[in-house]
Amino acid sequence: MGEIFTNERPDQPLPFSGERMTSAMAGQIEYEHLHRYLFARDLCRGLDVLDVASGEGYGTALLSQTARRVVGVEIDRASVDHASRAYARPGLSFLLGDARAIPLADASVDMVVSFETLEHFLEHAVFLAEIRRVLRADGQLVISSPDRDVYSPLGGRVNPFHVHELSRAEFARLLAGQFAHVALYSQRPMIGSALVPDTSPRPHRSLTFEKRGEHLEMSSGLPRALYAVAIASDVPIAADISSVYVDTSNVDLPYALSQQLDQARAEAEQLRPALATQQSEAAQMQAELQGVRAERDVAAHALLQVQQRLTTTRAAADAAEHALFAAAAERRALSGTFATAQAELAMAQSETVRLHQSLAEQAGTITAGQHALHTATAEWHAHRDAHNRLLHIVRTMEASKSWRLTSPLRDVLRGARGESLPAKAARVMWWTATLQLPHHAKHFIKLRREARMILAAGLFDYAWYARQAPALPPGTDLFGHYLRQGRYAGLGPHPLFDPDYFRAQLAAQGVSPMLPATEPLAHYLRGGAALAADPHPLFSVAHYRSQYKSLSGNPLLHYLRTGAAEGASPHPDFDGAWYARTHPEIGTTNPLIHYITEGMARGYEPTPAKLQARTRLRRQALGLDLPNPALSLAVGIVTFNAGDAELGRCLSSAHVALQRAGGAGAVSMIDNGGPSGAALVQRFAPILLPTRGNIGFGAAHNVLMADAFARGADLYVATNPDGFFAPGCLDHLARMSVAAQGRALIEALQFPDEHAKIYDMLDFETPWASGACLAIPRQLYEAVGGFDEAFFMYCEDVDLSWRARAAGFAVKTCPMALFYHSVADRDPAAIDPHLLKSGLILGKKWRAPAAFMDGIAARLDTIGLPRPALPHIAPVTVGITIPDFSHMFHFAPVRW
Amino acid sequence: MANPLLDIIVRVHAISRLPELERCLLSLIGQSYRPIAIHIVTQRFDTAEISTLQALVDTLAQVEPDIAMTVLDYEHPAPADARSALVNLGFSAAQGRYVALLDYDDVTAPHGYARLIADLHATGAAISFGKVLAARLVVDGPILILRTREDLYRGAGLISLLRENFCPIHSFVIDRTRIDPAALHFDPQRSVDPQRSVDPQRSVDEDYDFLIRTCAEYPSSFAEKEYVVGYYGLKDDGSNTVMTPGQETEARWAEWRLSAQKIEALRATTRVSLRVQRQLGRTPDPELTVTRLLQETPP
Repeated sequence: MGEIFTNERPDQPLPFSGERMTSAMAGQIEYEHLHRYLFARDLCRGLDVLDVASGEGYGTALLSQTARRVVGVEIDRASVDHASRAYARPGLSFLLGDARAIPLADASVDMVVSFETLEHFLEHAVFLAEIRRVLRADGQLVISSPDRDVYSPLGGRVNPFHVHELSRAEFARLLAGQFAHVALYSQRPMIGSALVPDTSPRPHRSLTFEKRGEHLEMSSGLPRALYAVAIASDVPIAADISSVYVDTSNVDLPYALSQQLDQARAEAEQLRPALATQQSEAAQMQAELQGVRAERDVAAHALLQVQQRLTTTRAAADAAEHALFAAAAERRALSGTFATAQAELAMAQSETVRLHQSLAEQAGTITAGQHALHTATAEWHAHRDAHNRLLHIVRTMEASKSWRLTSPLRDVLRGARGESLPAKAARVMWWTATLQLPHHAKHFIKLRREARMILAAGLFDYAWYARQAPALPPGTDLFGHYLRQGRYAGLGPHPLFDPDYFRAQLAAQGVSPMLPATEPLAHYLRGGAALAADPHPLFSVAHYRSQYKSLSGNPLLHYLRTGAAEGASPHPDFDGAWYARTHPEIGTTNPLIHYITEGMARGYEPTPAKLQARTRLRRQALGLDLPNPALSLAVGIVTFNAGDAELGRCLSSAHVALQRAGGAGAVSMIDNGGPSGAALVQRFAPILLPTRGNIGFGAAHNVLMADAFARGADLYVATNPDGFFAPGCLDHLARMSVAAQGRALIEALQFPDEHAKIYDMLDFETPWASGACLAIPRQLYEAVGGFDEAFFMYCEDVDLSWRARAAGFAVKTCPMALFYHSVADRDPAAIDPHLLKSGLILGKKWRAPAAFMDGIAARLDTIGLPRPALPHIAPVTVGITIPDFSHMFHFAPVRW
Repeated sequence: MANPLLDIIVRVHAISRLPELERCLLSLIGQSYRPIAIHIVTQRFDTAEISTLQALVDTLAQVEPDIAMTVLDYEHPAPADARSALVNLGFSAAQGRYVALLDYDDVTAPHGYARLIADLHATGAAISFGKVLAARLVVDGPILILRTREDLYRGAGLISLLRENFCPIHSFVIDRTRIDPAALHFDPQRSVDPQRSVDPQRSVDEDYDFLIRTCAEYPSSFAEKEYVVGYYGLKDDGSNTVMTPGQETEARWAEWRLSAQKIEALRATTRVSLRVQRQLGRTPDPELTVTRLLQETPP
């Protein structure tokens, strides 16, 4: 007879979620969990115990039957609440907490029990460190873990709640790294469960007998154990236990099941001949079905081809009929004028030849002239720089104390040439005593008076002046610099006083612009006639005085001190009250000062009329107020082994965007790589043109474009298969194309990785347009042609843009047409060879400067690529000033 | 084995900003991480507004049918500023292992979530941060023009974050299995007092409050802090929901100052967990607060 004790069960078990064992479960899972707790129960007698990951609490309650005090710690709040309610008794408590941050004091328990816990997180070392922290010096840990090699064999079922499982060896190493003594056990559930030590200090042999099919197996120890259990401590471990958990309630069940199984097998044997016959018949029917399906597929394919040919033939017939009618009418119309036209043609040809010759001569002259101009400009810049440097040196020297102090000496010496030394000395003393000291005193007094005057007027703004003279070192006396140097160099002291503009206004009034005796601000502040001149382009004295008719003082100072607060207008072109209302963030800042110092840079407008005009210009350029554009759209996609998911999203987005644009349009595709997915082709039914092999991006688009325009498309949209349209993308491209009367190449906005190149924020013109999603109108195609097929991929869009501009077309960005296209994390190794070769072709075609070509050569050297062989390229003769190679592959100034 | 689900919560406050929301949702559809579920949480939209929003969602669902997109409306009249409540509503709807947050005018970069989730997996952290760039936008009605991009939100890591919030709301992903569900919520008390606010639609620093509490308690990772995971639009029409240098009135500045005082109080009362202290290489001190940690750590 052994010890008889209560099996702890709650009134209402927690539902089993798969993550933690609850008493709602039975069978193997119950055996293995219960047995571990029973095993530990015996080790906990009279001890202070911590159960980490206590779950529903049934095990913690079992431990409390023998322990002095038990605390269960669990991360799941619902489980803690449940356990506290179900097992309320003295000496047993449950806390909410994480195994990696145990909410107990240091050295507070004799025994830590933690079963099936550490595989649920990665931080095993942290976990064991926490256990060590709460264990007393002679404390013990009883811990278990599934053996990954047995529990989760490769290709087998994976427990989704296990983050990091350990093998038996890893488990042992982990414990040995933290504890001086580790006794490892093996546990394997049966009808019940066995738990035996791996090694024993005493002569010990445990045998396991197992029925394996028709045979029996005897093993030493416990083979194929699912779980490893360990006791670990820094003191020798006294326990040496072998343990068995037995459940007799199901002992007879396997035999009964075996009987049922045998009976079922016998019945199955009887049914086998009939099954074989039916399988044979099914196989025959399957073969027939496959034959029928194959015939159906062949027929469907043939039907599809016939339908496509029929569609093509019908379109061709319609086109031919239209062409026939048109040709007949044209022939009738032209027949009368044919002879005249021939004569004119001959004359025109002759004139064209002459013009070509002339153009070639002029081009040569222009090129030579440009070269000479560049040389002259460079020389002039060099001279100007030298002059400026010299001027700076002279001004610095003139402004220096030593130069000013020695000024009278130089004057004296100039007048005393030829005199004796004593006479010269006497003259110097006389000058110093009679003129130099009063001169300096007078200059000092004047400077101080002007400084007071400027400061009293409040017309020196330190922040503004620092912005005017950014090269000054930190700590410079800015006002002193202005008084001594800056005002003579034309630097502005205040946002509302523009010295150059003021000089020009004085000159317009007949006052000398040179102001040799003083500088503009001091002159302005002294008043008089100067007060009639405008101090800034946005401060009109006449306009301001019209609001204060009796004003006699300085109008600018009046505006700064009183007028602005009273809502007075400084200029007809600046509405301060509206500006302050529209931009509440300026707070109490003077609106005009804010506009000049911040607003202009942010693109703010000075009046509502200008804002409305700006909005109107944008809406006109975008065609936002046009009726629905009745354009026939053709979306062209060139694929190169595109993935189904990526291509499917592109096609579905094209379908949605075409619907938004009015539905008049089609999608056509050509494969530069392997064939695109049949399911996608069937689902979206694009016009699929036969592949020409991998002929390059531009060449393949040329095939699609020619076909689309032959079918009557008004606008062809070249589209990358690895992106997708926003629903309104095609509608906005069509609207902008109509607004530009078909005379613009328009790119959709690459989103969210927008290209950094500039574009105009009113008419949206840009130096070149990207081919990732590019709208090409028929008119442009007919005038300029498609992509240059010398480019395999990359830069063909830049080339087409420059050719379009050279032919008088605009190139634009449509900020409302979004095309999602990810260019992040691209592999340079895959891109660079094509990109750099295309760059060389572009450079050669558009006569790039040596710096661009050398830059590419250097990059090729850096990545270890040879210089590629280039096809024959004829340099362009028209539009040679259009390209921008100074920003390398941006081909334009950039916004960031 | 399939990737665990990422729930993305998108806050929307006004139907008038649909063009910006569409950009936000497009950027989510383009994410390379799968599977994702998008929860659009709205603040007291009426039936017509919900219907307009649903039409946009339905259209985008045609583009990418494999992403679950749901609209959840916060109907309760209190608090007036339901910014925190919207996030909590989204948290309650989230089912996956990972969760991320956005406002309607935020945009994510294509591989951002994939990178942050890989980082969570590699480091075992509960929250992983990436870089967000500022995008200065000209707003002219429905026309949005990107003037320039700037790297404004910079910091060295956890200590920098605890000193000053340089991590916008869409710069991080959270692993819910590593955070106590009870801690996964925004504090509604962070909302601006409607009696004192000049703009009752605003709340201040509610996300920073969450980040201080979370990062003081759970391990965080800044391994991807130089990788761009999103863009934050600084709009020239003053419609930003956070402080924008040069765009704040005195009254709004006063609210920020009040919020700064609350944050300081939070730092003084929030303890840094032992594991976070170990992550920082410190000797664990159960009494260490965020304020003391910052005082004892040189800038």
